[in-house]
Amino acid sequence: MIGVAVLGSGAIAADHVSAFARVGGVEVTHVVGTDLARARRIAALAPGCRAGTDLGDALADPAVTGVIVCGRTGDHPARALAAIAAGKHVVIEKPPARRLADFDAVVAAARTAGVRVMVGQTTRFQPAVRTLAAAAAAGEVGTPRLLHLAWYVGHVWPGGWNSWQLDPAASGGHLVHNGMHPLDLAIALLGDRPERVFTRGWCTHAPGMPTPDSFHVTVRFAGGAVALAELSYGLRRPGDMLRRMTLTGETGTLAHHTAADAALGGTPVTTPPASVADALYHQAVHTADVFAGRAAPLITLEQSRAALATALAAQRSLEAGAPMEVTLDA
Amino acid sequence: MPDPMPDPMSHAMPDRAAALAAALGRVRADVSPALAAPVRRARAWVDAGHLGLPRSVNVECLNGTLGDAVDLARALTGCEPVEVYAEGTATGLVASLLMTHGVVASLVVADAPGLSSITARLIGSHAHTEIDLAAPAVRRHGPDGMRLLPAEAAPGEPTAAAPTGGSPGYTLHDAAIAADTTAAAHQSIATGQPVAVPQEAPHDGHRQRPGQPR
Repeated sequence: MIGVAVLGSGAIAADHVSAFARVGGVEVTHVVGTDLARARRIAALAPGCRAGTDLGDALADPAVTGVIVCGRTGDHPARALAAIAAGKHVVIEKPPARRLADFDAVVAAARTAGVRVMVGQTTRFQPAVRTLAAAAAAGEVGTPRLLHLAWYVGHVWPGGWNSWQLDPAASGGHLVHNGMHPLDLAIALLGDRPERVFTRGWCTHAPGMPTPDSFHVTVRFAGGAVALAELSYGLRRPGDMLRRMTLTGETGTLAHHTAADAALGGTPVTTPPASVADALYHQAVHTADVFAGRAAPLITLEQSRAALATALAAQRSLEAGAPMEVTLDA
Repeated sequence: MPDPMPDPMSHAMPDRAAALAAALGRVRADVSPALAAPVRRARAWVDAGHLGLPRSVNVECLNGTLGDAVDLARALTGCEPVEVYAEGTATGLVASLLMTHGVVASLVVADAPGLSSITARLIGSHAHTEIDLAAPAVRRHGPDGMRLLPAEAAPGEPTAAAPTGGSPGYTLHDAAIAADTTAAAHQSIATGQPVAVPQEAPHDGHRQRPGQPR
């Protein structure tokens, strides 16, 4: 049995608990949060799961094989280091840190302790992304040259104006907080080292937002490939979703659009398109395999480091209004 | 029939502005995809206020040209390019445009083996829309594969209007903006910096060259 402790009591922590509760051979043992009432509500999603506010209690439990680090980005490195010191395997929610040096410290500690660490880039587990990535890896397009990702959703920020995600000082900025998703995928699909980024960001609805709800990033790679990653949380209706991917190569093109999915009509209920649905469950299955030593992490630490460095550079580009070199040096 | 001019809008040809200058006095015979029915319909939605104020637009031209993409961004938003940043690869480019009124555009132009398409996505303050220049269409399937049968008339108004003295829907002024933006994009690729797109001079009607101070 793989024991999993979830550190955090926000919305994504609840999603992780629900996902792991469906994975055979996994027991969610602990939910640890600063708000005990909220932690209890989340723990109730998995049979036998205990809620608490003391990280040490969960890490001292020998039934815990690995931990899922959620919560505020600034807390990720310290929580991961504590788990590693206790000999637990770790999945860190993206972004793993606000600074590259903090991520490097986590990686170094994990290597010394001999435990596995993976960043939870959930989009990599979306069915359409997995299919497109497998086709690209199989050489279906030859050498990839240009990637275009357009991911738009209708979104309401939890916490309103007090949401920590809106505060660049707390989240690292939107390019770091959510930009890591498409940047990680671009790095994985193009299999190359990002060199330079240029970002434009804008607010679709509320001009006074301290961070843009939408942005696009151009990325230049060392081997000559380029990518455009667009992310918008500015669709008008919560739950609306438009996601498309186009990867062109020397001999072929891969393309996907959520509009090709079956859609529910005649009801105000919105459901996720099948091409993106259940990604967190698929990530949980993979995480269990990684914690058990049955699989190597799909998301490598090198890719995550490059994605974080690229996201940090993209955030600097947004703030400066100028292209930025991606610094991968320690 | 007006003299046809070669289509110098290819992303592989940076001196579009020079080619255009040589063609002054002629009327373009080719038709911009900006005049296609789906584009005009979406622009009518914008003008009717259905999308609120346009905030961003993305145009993807697979086996199209950067000029096409610029035309579409302008046609959909009614805004003009102000600054461009671009990155190029052997088979295409991506461009980030700042347009008037703070509207942002992203353009993707690529050689895409096996797939020719022009699509665009427009997000406004109150709604969004997506258009495909190949839609609406009826799909005809047969032994030779699939073929699209357009369900709307192909654009033809500008070429029909010019010989009879009517006002073309796509003018040399439009072509010059596409050309200058293309030239600015190539200058950006060469320098690795954002480049200002020349703006119409207020009195003499001449456009400043890319990169010149405004």
